[in-house]
Parts: sequence; structure tokens; C-alpha cells
Amino acid sequence: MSIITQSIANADREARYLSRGELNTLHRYFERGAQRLRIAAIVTANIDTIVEKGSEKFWQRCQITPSNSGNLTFRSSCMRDQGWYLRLITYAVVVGDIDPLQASGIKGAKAMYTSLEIPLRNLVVCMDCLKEVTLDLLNPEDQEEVSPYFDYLIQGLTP
Amino acid sequence: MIDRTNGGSPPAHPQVFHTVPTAVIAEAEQRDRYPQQSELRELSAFFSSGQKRLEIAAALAQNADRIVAAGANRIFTGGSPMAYLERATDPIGLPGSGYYIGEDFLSAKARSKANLAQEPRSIDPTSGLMDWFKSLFAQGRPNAPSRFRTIDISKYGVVRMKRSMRDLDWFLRYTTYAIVAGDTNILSVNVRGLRGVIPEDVTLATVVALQEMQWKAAQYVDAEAKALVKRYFEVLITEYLVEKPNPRLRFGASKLHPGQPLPQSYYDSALPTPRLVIKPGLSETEKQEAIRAAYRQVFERDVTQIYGVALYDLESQVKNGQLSMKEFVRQLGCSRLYRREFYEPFTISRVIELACRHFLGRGLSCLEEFQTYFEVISEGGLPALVNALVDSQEYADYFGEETVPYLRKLGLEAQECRNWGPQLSLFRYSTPVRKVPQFVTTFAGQQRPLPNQHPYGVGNDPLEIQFGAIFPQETRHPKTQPAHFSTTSRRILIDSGLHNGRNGDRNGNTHWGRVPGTFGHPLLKLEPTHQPRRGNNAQGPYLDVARHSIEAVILGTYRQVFGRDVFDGQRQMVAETKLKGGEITLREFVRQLAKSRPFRRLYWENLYITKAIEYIHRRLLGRPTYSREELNRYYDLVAKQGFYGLVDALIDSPEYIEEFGEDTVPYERYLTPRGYAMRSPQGPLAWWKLRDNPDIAGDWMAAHTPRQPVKIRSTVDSVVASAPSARSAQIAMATATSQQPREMAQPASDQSTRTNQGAGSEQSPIVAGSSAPMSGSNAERPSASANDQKLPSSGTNPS
Repeated sequence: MSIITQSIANADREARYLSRGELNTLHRYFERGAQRLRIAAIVTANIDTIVEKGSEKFWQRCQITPSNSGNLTFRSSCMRDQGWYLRLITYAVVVGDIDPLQASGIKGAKAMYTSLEIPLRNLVVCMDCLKEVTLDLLNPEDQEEVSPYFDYLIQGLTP
Repeated sequence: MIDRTNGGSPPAHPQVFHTVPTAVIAEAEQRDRYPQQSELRELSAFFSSGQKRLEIAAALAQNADRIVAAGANRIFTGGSPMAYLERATDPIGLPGSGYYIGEDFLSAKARSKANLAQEPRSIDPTSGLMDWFKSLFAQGRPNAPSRFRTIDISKYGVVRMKRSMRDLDWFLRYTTYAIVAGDTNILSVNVRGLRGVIPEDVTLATVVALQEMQWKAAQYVDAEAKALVKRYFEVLITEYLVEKPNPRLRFGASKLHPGQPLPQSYYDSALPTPRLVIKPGLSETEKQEAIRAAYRQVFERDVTQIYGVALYDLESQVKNGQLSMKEFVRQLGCSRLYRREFYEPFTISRVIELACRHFLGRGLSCLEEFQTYFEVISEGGLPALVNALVDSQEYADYFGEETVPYLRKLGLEAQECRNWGPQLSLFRYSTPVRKVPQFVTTFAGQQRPLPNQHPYGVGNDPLEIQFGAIFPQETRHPKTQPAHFSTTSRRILIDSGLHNGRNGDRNGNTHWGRVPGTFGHPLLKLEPTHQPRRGNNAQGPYLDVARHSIEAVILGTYRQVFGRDVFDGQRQMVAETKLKGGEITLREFVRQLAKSRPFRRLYWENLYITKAIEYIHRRLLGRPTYSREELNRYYDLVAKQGFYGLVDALIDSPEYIEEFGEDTVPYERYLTPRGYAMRSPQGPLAWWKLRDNPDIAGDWMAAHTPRQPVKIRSTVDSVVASAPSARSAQIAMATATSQQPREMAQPASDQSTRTNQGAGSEQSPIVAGSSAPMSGSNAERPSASANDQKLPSSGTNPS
């Protein structure tokens, strides 16, 4: 579901042409398309750095956490999950909608992490670090674009 | 069969079409990777052309009326076709908006109003003229084929005209959508195969109209956009001309489930998920991708070195072509990792569900299927199950030797509605985390109450019910499934006084304590000779007037049958006289009371039938009804013989005669923790207020009946004798009054472990037999309550 799909679906439900307001929204979306792609490209290129820095920051803030316990499996799965969430963020940025985040990043995630005995609070801290590190790489304009998605993610994971 | 359970069905909003970004993201997500360079380029082109496409869409929408009019005027003659075009301005009344008002159902007033509102939308004559002039000089106006005949509006009929105009308008609308989305998928989903739906004779006319619209629409955009508009209309016309497509069939899962057809458009609208295959000719990266997809399907995640798997051997065999994908999947299923992740942590039914997801890409279809696989797994274990799934006909039909199994989700094929919720929920990625089997619990929820289950609600203990609780909560937790309950289940018996020779004190009172809210003395027995009872020899013969006088028995009977003392005017003097005179037995007396006018008014006339039966049953037999079967019998009885038949049936029942005989007043025989809580001074709510609520009957007694200090002192002495070292503590205790038993008990518990152990066996049976909530509250302060009970009796029994 992207912003385009959404407005078309809305219009279709009411059997009307796209309204002026919807066209304007789409207009803005297209205008910013290049910017969105640029953000996605930057994040994709720096994925390893971001995850590495992010986890360092995370372990500084949360020293007692499964991934910092010296267990190699925990450590690498933590980093894998970070990369995974970052990828979802890029999807969401490209599409301009929270749907990819929600569908595969937030629904059921709490239950999953709880059952894996991973403290959700630490996970939220981890996402916070990830957000900070990512935002460091971007210019203010891009930051404004990306941070809502991170916020939505953090909001969704907060226990 | 009642489906009491909400299957947890999530609302599903299928995506009915896709656009460039969603398609790209879906593809990337399915392969677990970032968008590739080529895809980003595609997206970037899409974004940069966005403005242009929006402009086109806006222009078309603005001139929609004219475009549609052009198309319509081309094919219709003899009137103004635009008069029949109704455009929805208000969503209310459209199908899907919640309240659809078919035109035939409008009232006369509303219809005239609606007609007034639809002022014929005539095209401005001058602009029409202008258009006509323009069209004379415009190039490229399509020629209609010679076979084409215009349609006369008056002959065509109002209803069909309206439909035709609506369709033309909708064609244009979908074209604008498709232009905005940059993808023709919307057109194919909505238009494909319409030719098979619309009557055959207008196919040609429709195509002519569409071509006219195409030409007309191109007039309103600039040269650059003309090509684009033209292209989308071409797609529209091509899709329209496609024969009505065959529905796609979902293969049957079992004999009980033949396949289900799925419309082609449904299939078309699904997001394009690539099916990965392993073939000899593929490149290394493609093979690697397919293998990863297999891991994701079977293990629900990427399997890397960190999982410590030695699957590399298998991997290389697949790449060499020694193993087919089917065999590879089978080996994965039989691997140690699969066993560890999806077999060991779960119950068998959950294992079957998950395996079905992993190897067939769908959820369980029905109970019968589940039973089949359950048998397989019980006989041969996990490998047998995996083999059964992989070797099944269904696997061969869908995946064959080469394809990697995939989730057959919404949009990919028809879903069975009866498992709708669990199917979708099983496909969510965190499903292995859920420990409770999804399907089996749902099947269990679609139950008719078992013969031994109480029809009210699904609590664990149907003995004590609240009458209002007929309608169970719809959203119950799967963990709180009802326990089967039958006559053989263990329950709490109220002491009837029959055994007081064994564990009662001198007065025949047991020290278990009286349950608050029970009526009077446990046992009232009519003994016309007024002889002392036998079996109480140790105490010698005695006569307790309060218990055994005929007057007391009569009053007790009233209390039991009516639930309270009756007013003088309500007493059945005739029956009483007869009883006193020995003309009737006590059982007969009870019967007459139950058939009396006040009783009928109290328990029959004002209550609905179930409640009435329940009350009368409790009053006369001293217990709640057991089960649905029992209640059904009473319903039947009541329907055929009425109130008096019910009373007779209860009093003549073998159970009554066995329990109470001819001369015993019925008494309340069973009590459950819940019922106990309801009667306790604070009411049922006091369950959570442990401190306010005496948790055992003995506790309650301790607070309400004075004790004999002599006994307590003797207890203390015996304790002192056994433990002289703690003398000072005992002296302090001895001075305590009997009104504070708990304070005394606390110091004693330090050293007299023997006393505590004894207390366990002599505790109130109400506690011993109670179910979880009660023992839970009891556990809060075990030593205190035990000692309260303990002190007096251990004094008489120092050994």
C-alpha cells in the first residue's frame, strides 16, 4: 500500500475521480520522489556502518542485554534484526506509507521478542540509537523526511 | 452447532491493484533485499514523470463529461444519452457504503426527489457546436467498422442506458487511476473479460465508444501526453476484448474439500510475487537466491552460519543438480534444525499446523485433515509427517519438483472462509512464537456443548452458576477452554452431619465451621418417636429439642424449600397438621410445600424457564443441575407436564429417595468456591480482597464464635512441655485472650512444626477440596489459618 494506492482506493470506493486535494498530495509525493530515492540510496550504501555504530551506541547505553552478553548468536541476530528494520524503513520511505513497516515490522513483533525473552525496552533503545546514527548521515531536510518513520516504529515497539 | 468463538479473524483489506512503488517493494521484500539499482532507476523515472501524469489525470477528470458524452453520442441516437449518466456525488447509497438503496426500493417521494435532482445534464449547445466544428477538422478520428449500427435510446430502455453510461464513465475513471498509478494493472483487474459479462450485441458498440473517447481525451492534453493517453486507452480496449477468463481453481485439499474457483481478476490483482525455481541452467546467484527462499519458507528466516547448521552439503548437492528442490525441502524438514525449532518446543497439534504452513504453504483446512496428519505423526514421528506432506498430491500440483514452496496467501488463491482468521494469522511472520495451536482451538470452539458440559457459559465449574450468565463472552481466551464436568468430578461436599460420630464434637457440630449462607443446621430429620439417635453412643442418649422437635423440623423444611422463613400467612397449615398427625411423611410434606401457591409464585411464575428449573432443583434436590442433558430432560418434562410434573419428578426421583429418604429435610449438598465467595460477607468481589474475606469457613468461625480458654491453655502447656527452651514465649502466649487466636498462633509456629504438620490433615475440607482460586488465597498465609484451626483440637490430643 503506497500513498498512491491509498488515494486511488479511496476514490474508487466512492466511485469518483481523484479529487483536487488528493492530486495535490500526490503532486507533493512525486516532487519529493527524488529525495526519497536519495535517502534510500544513502541508507542502503551505509547499512553496515549504521548497524555497527548503532549497536555500539546501543551497548554503551544498555550494557546488560542479551546481544551484549558475549553470545555470538545473540550478537549477530541482534545486528541482523537491526539491518532488517533499517531495510523496512527504506521501503517505507520509498513507498511513502507506513504499511511495509506495520505489516512486517510491528505486527506481532512484540509478541515475538517477548517470547524470545528479549527485553522490549532494550529493543526500543536500540531503535533509538539506530535512528540517531541514521539521522547523522542525512541533511536536515532528509532528516525531517525519515524521522517520522523511525518514530512510528519506536512507538509501535514500545511496550 | 454454535460457533461461540470469534476465530480472531483480522479484517483483511486485499490490495486490489498495484502501482510501481508497491510492486518494486513487494518484490524486494519477498527476496529480503534492498531495491536494486535498476529498480531505483525505474522508480526515479516514475517519480519524475509523476507531474505529467497528474496533469493528464486532472485534465481528463475535468473534461470527463465531455469525453463520456462524445463516446456516448457516437453510439446512441434518438435522445441525449448524458441524461442517463448518474454520477455519484454522495457515497451513501452506493454498494459498499454500508446502506445500499436499490432504486426500486425508494419511496415515491424519494424517487420524485431523486428525479428532480437529476436534471438532464445537457451539453452547452454552443460548446457542442464548437466541438462539432473542431471535430470536423481534427485528424485521426476513428472510423467505425461497417458492421456497426447505432443504438436507439428509446428502444434500448432506461435501465440499460443507465448501465451503459455508468460503464463508460467508469472506463474513463479507471483510465485516470491507471495513469496516476503509472501501471496498467488497474485496468486489467477491472476491465479484463468484461466482454464476457456485457451482452454480446453491444461489444462492438462499446469498442467504438471507447475509441471515440480515446480520440476525444487526446484533444484535452498536449502533444507529449497524447501518446500516453492513447497507450492507456489501447490497453483498456485490449483488456476489454479478452474473452471472459476461466476462473482459476484452487486444488482440493482433501476429499472433503473439493477445489474452489477464484476469479481471474482476483488473481491478477495479487502482487506479483516471483516463484523461484531451481533448474540446471540457472546462474549461481539465482540458485543461491532460490535456496535462501527455501530456507525462508521452511525455517521462516534466513539460515546462516550462526545457526550452526551443516546444510552446506545439501546446498551444494542442490546446486549440482543432484537433489531436486522437492528433495531439498524434504531434507530440510528432516533436519536437526527443523526438529529443534518447530518440533520440540510445541505441542503436536501446533507442529502439524506449522508443518502445513511450511511445506504446503497454507493452513490446515479442516478437522478431518488434521486428524489424518495427527495419525501420521503419532505413528511415525516428524519425518513421517514431513514425508506425507511433501509426497502429497497437493505438493506435486502446486510446487512440483522444481518450485520452492511459497505461502499461498490472500490474493494468490481462494481462501477457505471457515478458517479465514487462523489462515491469515498463521501467515504472519511471528507465528512460531504462538504456543497455542490456532486451528485446533478454533475447531474446538465450533462446538456443540459436550453432553457433560453445562450449557451456560464455559467456566471450569458449572456447578455454581450465576443465572444471568447465559451468554458467554464472545472473545474468550483460547487457554480457558472448558473442563469437562460430570457427576464423577470431585467437588466440595457440605458436611451433612451424617458422619458427626466420627469427626464431630459433643454436640454433633463439626468443627469444620458453618458455611455462611447455608440454611440452619446441616441435618434435620423427622423422628416421630422422638428417640435419641443411634450411632452417637459415646455421648449417651440425649434429646436436642432445638433440632428434633417436630416444630423445628417444619421450620427447617420451610427454610430449605422457600429459601427463607415464611410469613405466617404463607404457612401451609393443613399440610403441617397432617405431618404432625403422622398422616403424611416428610417427603410428602415437602411435595405439598413445593406445590403450594407461594412457592409457585416465588420460583415459577416470574422466572424464565431455565432459571425456574435451576432454582427448584436446588431447593428440592439440594444441588444444581449437572449438565445439558439433565436440563434437556427437565425442559421436556416441563413442556409436557408443567410445573407440577416437574415437582413430582424431582421428589419421586431415585436421587431424592436415596439422599433424603422419607424423613430427612432436603439440605444443600454441594458448594463450590465460587458459590462460597458469592455468599461470603463481601460478596464475590471480595475474592481479590483477601484480607477482608475469610478464606476458609473455619476462619470465619474463629472470628464469630467464642472459644473456651481452657482448651487453649492446655494446648500451650503441651507445647511448653515439648519445648521448654522457649518458655518465655509460651508464657506470653498463655496470657493472650482467645479473641486473638492469630497473634498466639504466630510465635507457636516457630517451633511446633509437628503441630503444623498435623494441621494440614485436619484443615477444613472446604479448603482441602477447593479449586485453584481458593487455595491461592489460602496460600497467602498458610501458617496462620492452620494454627487457628489447630490449637483447640491438639489440646485434647497431645500425642
